[in-house]
Amino acid sequence: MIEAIPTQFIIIFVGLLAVMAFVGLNAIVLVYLERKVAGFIHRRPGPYEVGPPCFPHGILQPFADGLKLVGKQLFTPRGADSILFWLAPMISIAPAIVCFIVIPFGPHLQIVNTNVGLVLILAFTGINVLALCLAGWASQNKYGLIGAARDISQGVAYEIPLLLVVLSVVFMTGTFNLFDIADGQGAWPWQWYIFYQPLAFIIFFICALAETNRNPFDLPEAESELTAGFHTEYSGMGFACFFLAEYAYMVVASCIIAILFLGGFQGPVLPGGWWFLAKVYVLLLIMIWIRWTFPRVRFDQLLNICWKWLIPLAVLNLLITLAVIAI
Amino acid sequence: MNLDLRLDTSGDFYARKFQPTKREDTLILNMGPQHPSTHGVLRIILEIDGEYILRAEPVLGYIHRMHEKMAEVMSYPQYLPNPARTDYLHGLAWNWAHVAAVERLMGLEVPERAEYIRVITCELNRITSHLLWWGAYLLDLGAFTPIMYAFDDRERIQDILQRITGSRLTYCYYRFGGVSNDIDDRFIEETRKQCSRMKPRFKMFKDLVTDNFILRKRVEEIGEIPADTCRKYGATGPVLRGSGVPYDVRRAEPYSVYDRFDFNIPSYDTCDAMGRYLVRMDEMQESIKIIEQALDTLPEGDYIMPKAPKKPKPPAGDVYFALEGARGKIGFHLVSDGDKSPYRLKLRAPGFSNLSLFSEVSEGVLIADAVSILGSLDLVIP
Amino acid sequence: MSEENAKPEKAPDKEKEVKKKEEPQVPKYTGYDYDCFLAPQELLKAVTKLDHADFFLEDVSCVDMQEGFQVVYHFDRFSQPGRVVLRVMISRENPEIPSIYDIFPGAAWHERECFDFFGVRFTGHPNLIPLLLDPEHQGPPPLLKEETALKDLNQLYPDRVHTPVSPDSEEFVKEINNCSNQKSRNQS
Repeated sequence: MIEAIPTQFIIIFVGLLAVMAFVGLNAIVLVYLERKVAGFIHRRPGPYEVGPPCFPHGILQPFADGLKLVGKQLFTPRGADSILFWLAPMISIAPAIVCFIVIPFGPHLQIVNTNVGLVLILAFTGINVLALCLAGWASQNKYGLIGAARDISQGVAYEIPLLLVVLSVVFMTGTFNLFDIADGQGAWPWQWYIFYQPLAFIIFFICALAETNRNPFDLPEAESELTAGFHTEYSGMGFACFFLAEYAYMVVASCIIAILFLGGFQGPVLPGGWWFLAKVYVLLLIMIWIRWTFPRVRFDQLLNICWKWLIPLAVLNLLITLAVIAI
Repeated sequence: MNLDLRLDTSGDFYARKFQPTKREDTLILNMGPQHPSTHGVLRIILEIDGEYILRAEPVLGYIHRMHEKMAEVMSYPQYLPNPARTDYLHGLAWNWAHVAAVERLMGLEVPERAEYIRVITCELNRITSHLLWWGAYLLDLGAFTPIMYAFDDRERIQDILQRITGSRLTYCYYRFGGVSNDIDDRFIEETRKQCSRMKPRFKMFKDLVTDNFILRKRVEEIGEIPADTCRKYGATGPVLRGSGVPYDVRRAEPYSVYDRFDFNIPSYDTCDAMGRYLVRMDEMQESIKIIEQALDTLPEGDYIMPKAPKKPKPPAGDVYFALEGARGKIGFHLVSDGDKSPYRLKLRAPGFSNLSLFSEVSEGVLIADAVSILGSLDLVIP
Repeated sequence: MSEENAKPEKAPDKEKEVKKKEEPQVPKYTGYDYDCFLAPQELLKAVTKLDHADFFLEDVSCVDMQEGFQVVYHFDRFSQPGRVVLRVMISRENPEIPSIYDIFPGAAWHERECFDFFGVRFTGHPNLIPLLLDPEHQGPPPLLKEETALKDLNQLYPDRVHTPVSPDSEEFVKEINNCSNQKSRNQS
């Protein structure tokens, strides 16, 4: 019987399980990291007291958080569209997991090696906008609605410069295959694409922050303006799904940046997988650092940054890349 | 599913009073009192077009506790702890206004040392109030870290005040004719240490926060309040000084021993949220200047006048006593009929007047700017 | 204390009544630099004059007494600080007084507060609804006093002149223009 199943499916199935574990584990680490780094920046210890003394520095905190979220009552507000309302968190989390399938974690650590890996990731991350829109719309809450509206205009606007800078890299390498892009760069930092495309790196990083709704671009869930924006009405696992998805997208964004600009799994001495992980976590730490340092921009400023600065710069960057390639 | 959100306007009394206009494409949004940036005490009904505010109407009274009625049924000493509760961030100023109004009516002469102690503690309290405002305002703007830095200093000052006054937030330290407790060498030493500690901190705050590009974009040219609007609405304090009028009760109507100290009244004529922000930041430094001068020239003597009335019975008549609180002019209008409790006590809360201009200022701004304006008014709703 | 160098409250009018100066404890400085009673119909005229003289509204307050409600308006000035207080007596049976909202929009909330606590109706107020009290509040306004507890003007203000001043009089104009707390301070 077993022989009847194509190996490809088995690999994908096992891979998906592994990815889910990876996403869950990442979330746990990131929650702890975020709170500890926030504490460090705030000059306070952060979580410290959870569990018996054999678990110092509150390392059980993410588990306690998770347990709390699982234990909470699921609550559908009156007048909300219950189907869309509960579909939204799932639509949010599912594509995030699929994205990991095509990411080369190491020279031999990739679930599916496909020629259109980059396109696949960009397409799947785009679905998140739909999920947040549905969440805000279906919860029958005005703050949710405004949050959803903000998310759509923000997500759509920032998709454009993001695609344009990805194109510049693709023109350089001539492939959409993530493995090939990473493989094409050398082991040493000066061989990475960040040195050929510094502007593209900056634009991509800003867009990644905006696409993942991280501070200073966390407008769809701006706490002091919209209470919690699109997830105002979600509790328990509904909220946890958005939360997981946000962290998953952060990891995806960091992975893409690492692959496109920082040489992916390439690096001297150590095996590739470790280099990849290290690069991803450095990027994540920078994101966390930014979140706890800057105030939030205003919505029109956010769109101005995109339309008046990032898109022209991205076009310019693309043109220069093309000119250099043509010569 | 009914998604006609305009139907939700059939809410409570205030929502019904806030009738929708003829326009069909607007949204009535209820902001607060459980909204994070109204800090649990204020509710604003907004009519918005997209994210632009067309009309705004604040609804108050969520923490109104009828202190004026309480004053009429309590005797003067019983009422002592009350005023600090009206403005929980600058309690000592209210405490002071109360005792000073009674002293003025009775013609009591407060010993000089007590006046100096009052100045020192009240200014310390002003710094804590401004620090908390600073942190909370930046929290409203989405910056999470500064409030922790603000609390670092705030806690130290509260520790100093706690040892002398016995409380950390709602003080009841001043008495008719003086203060309840003399300050000692440790207080003086700790205060001096804290003053010298805070001076470099202000530079750090400026480098870290005030000069931040994103923050400047969020507060500059936001919520412009011309000086004449301030006058029409009776706005005082940092709101007024941020509009270019250097009016400070400590200078305009000098009470206590303020006329002996050398301090500036910061004012910025940009009229925007940045002006109000900078006024408060400068004011903290001026307060430190006052405290240091007061500590240098602290006279010896009684901390409370001998034979201070324990149960005062002021003569019939009425007085008005105004002083400068952290949020503006605090006024006590005390009408006495010669009995042991006031005949009528009217409290002028600066936040009340300052907030009343919000609906005019917020017309046509974005929701995010409205939050910024609200924060820059520094509200403690009476 | 400011009382030290303050002069006794200057009487607003050339006094004919005998002040009850026997009381030893009469405050030296009451915080008022010009204090006058007005007739209700002349309130708006007086407030307009104050507006033109660059005053700002501090607050509107109300005192319940035997003669009726005394509505108290406090004004102060930024450029030349000095407090002016206008007192208007209105009857308890028909507590109506013109709103000064059109001159000082900041009065809107103070007037609503008086409406809440005393039931004073301000005619011409655009939005006279409860501000601080629960709109479903039942019963009499909370700051009304019981009949027995009411005091009259002579008991509460033994040393003031209670006759209304006309805002057109030269006296009034001169007083509000020259009113300054420095004046009463420096004379001591």
